[in-house]
Amino acid sequence: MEQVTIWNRLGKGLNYTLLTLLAATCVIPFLYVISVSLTPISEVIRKDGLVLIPSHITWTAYEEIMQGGRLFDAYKVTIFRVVVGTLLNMLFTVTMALPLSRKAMPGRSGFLMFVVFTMLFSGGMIPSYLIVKEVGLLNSEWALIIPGLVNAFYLMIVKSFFEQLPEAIDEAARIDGAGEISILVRIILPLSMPVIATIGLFYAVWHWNSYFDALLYINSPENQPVQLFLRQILLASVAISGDAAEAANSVNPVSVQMASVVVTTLPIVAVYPFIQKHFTKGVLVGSVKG
Amino acid sequence: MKKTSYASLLLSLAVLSGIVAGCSGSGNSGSNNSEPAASGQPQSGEQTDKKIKLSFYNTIGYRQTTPMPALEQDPIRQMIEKDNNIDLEMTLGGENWKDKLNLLITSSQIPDIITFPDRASAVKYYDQGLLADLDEVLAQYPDLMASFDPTRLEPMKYKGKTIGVPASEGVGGVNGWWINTTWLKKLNLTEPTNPQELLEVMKAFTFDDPDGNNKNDTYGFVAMLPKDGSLGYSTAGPKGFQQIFWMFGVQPNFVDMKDGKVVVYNTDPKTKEALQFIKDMIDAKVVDPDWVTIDDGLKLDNKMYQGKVGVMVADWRRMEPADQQKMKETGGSTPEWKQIAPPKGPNGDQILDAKVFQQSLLGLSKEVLKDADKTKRAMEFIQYLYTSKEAYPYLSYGIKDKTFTETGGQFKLIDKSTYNEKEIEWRYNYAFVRKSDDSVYFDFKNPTVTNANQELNRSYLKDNNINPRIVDTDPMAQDRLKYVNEMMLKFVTGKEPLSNWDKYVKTLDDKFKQADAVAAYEQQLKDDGVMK
Repeated sequence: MEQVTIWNRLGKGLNYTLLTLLAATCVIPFLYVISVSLTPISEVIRKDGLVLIPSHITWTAYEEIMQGGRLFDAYKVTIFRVVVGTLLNMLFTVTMALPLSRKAMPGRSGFLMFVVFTMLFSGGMIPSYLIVKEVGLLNSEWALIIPGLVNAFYLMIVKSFFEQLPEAIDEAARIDGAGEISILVRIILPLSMPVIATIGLFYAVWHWNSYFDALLYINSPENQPVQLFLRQILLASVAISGDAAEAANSVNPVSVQMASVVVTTLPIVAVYPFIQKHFTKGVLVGSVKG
Repeated sequence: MKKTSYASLLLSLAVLSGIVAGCSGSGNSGSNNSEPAASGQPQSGEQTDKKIKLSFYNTIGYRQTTPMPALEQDPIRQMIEKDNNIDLEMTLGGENWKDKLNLLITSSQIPDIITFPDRASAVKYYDQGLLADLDEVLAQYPDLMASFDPTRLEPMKYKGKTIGVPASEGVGGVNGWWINTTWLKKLNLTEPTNPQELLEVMKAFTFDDPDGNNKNDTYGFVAMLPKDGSLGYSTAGPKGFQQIFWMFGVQPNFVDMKDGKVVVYNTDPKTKEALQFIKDMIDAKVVDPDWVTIDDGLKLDNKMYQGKVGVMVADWRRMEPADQQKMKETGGSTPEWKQIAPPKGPNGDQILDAKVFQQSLLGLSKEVLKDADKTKRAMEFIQYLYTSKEAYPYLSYGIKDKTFTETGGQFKLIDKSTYNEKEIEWRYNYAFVRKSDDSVYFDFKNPTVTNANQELNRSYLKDNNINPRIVDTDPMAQDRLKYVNEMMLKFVTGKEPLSNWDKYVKTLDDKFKQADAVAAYEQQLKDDGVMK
C-alpha cells in the first residue's frame, strides 16, 4: 500500500487535471455566453469580446429582448409544439409500433418496408412544401406537428422494444377479457416506460430545436416558434443587398445576441440533468437482445 | 380473415399511392398551373377598379429577418392597400431568399412583383424565363422612369432589354479614410498625403506612444479580411487594404476598362507595388495583427471604439454623437477623429473606392404580363411606391407621431431612444424606397461634419459600370479566384516572396486561363452595350 501511494497520487493528480481541463472546455463556452449577455457592451468591446467574469452586471440586454412581448408569443408556440406535438408523436408511434411488433400481423414486412423506405428516401423540400400547402396547413402551427408525426427510426426502436415483451402476456390478458386497447394501455405501456420516456424525450428535444420547418411554413409572426425569434436576433445584420449604409444600423449588439441564446436554451438546459439518464438508456433500448 | 383483407387492402392502397406519388411530378403541377389562372380570369374580365391581390417578393427591405405584423397592426400596409385598392401579399426573402423563391415558383405561387438584391441573380432568373421584359410597359410610365437617376437605370438593362427598375438606392461614399487627429497633434505630425507620409504617421502612431500611457499598445492601421479571404474587391465589402490598393490605382479581383479594353488588375505590375507596400506595413508592425480575424465591419468599428488605432477606413457617420458616446464608454476618451482625402499614390492616383453600381432590381414576373389589367395595376402600384409624395414619408420614415413628426411640411424622425424600436423594426422593410441622399431618413445629429465627410468621400470615387455586372462563367473561375486570394495573402504575409510575382502571373495565365475570363468579360460587356 505504502509504496504505490506516490504514484497513485501522481496518477490521481494527473487524472484530475486532465478531467478538469476537459470539463472546462465544456463549461467555458456556457460561461462565456452567460457572461457576455450580462456585460455592458462597452466592456465587451474593450476586452475584444472575451469576457468570462463581467466586472459589473447589467440586465439591459435581457430587457431589450423582452420588449414587445414577441419572445413570450414565440414561447407559447414552442411550448404548444413541444407538448401537443410530443403527445401526438407518442400516440401515433406507439399505436403503429405495437401491431408491427406482433408476428400475427398480416403483411407486417410489407408495412415495415414501407416505413424503412422513408428512412432512406424522402421527397425533398419542395414536394413536402407542396403537400403542406395543398392541405391548407401553411401558416398554422399544425404544419410543425403533423408532417413529422411518426419518425421512422424511433418507430423501429419502439417496435423492437415491444418485440422483446413476451406475447404470452397479451394472451394472458386476452383470456382475462381485455380488448386491444386495454392490452395496450394496461399491460404494454406500463411495461415499456423506459422506451416511452426515451422516445418522448427525443421527440421533445427535436421539437424544441427545429426551426427550418417553421421557416418554410410559417410566415405570420404570431405563429413563429422561439428558435425563429433567436435566429432573427442573431441574423438581424443581414441586409442581403449588402447595402453598406443600412447594414451597420441593423446589427444587434453581441450582448443581446447572447442574451437571446441564453433565454432560448435555458429551459431545455434546465431539464436536461434530470432526463439525461434516459438518453443514454435510450440508445441501448431495443438494440441489445438476450 | 377480416384482418387479412383489411391489411391487404391497406397495402395495395399504399402501393398504389406510391405509384401515384411517383407520377405526381407532372400531374400535380399541371393542375396547379391551371388553378391560379382560373381564379385570375374573372377579375381581368371586369372593371379595373376592382380590388385585386398583388404578391410582392421582398428581398430589399432593410430588416429581412424581422417578420411583418398582421394587417391590423401595420398602418403602412393599410395605407398602401387603401391607396391602391389592392391586397398586398408581401413575402420577405431573408438570407435563404433563393430557396424560398424557388419554392414559390415550383409550387405555382410565382409572385407578381419580384425584387432581387443583386443584378447577377436577377439576370439568372430572367434567363430562366421568370422575369418579363419591361421596355414596352415602362414606356407608359414616364413619371416613374423620371424618378430614377439615369446611371441607376442603365444597369437595369440586360442584353438590350430593360428587365426591371432600381429597387433600393445604394449609397455612395460610405467609407472613407479616418485619422485620429488627437494623436497627430500630440506627436506634432501632419495629415499624410502620400504613401510615404502615411507609413511614417502609422509608424509614429505605433511606436511613439500617441495615447501617452507609456505602453506599447497602439497601432497605426487596422484592416479587415472578409470570410471569402479576398484582400481586394469582393462582395463582402472589405475595408482597409482595399483602399491601399486603390492608392496605387489598382484592385485585386476588380475588372476595369481602359481605352476600350478590358483590364484585369490581378496581374497588373502596380498591384505588385501595392502588395509590396502592404507587406512593408505588416513588416513594420504598424497593422493591428487582429486584421486576420476581423471579418466584418462591426469588428472593425470596435477597433475605433477601443481607441487603440490611429488610421482606418470606416463609415462616414462615425463622429455622430452615438458613436462618440461608444468611444467614450469603451476607450475612455473621445479622440478627434477626422476624415481626410485618400493619400495620393505614386502614380498620381487618388481613389477611395468605386462608385456605387445599382445592384438591386425590381421586376415583374412574366405571368403578370399575360394579364393586361393586372400589369396595369402592378405598374401603378410600383409608380406609387417610388413617386408618391404623400406616401413617401410613411414608407421611408415609418408611422406618423410614432417614428416621425410633421410640422408644416417638414419631416423629422423621433429620437429612437424614446420608443421601443424593436416593436416597429419591420417598418424598414418598406423603407427601400428611400432616396440615397435623404437627410431626414439618415437623421444626422452632427450634420455639418457628417455631410461634409460624405461629400469628401464622394469626390474620390472611381467610375464603375463593370464590376457586379460581369460574372465569371468559365469552369476555372472558382479555382482562379481562390488561387489569387491565396497568393495575395501569401505575398503580404511573406509566405511567398514577391520575387515570385512573375511566376504567379504566369500560373494565372497558363494554368488558370485568365485570357478565357477576359474574353468572357468582353463578351458580356458587349452584350450589355457597355463596350463597343
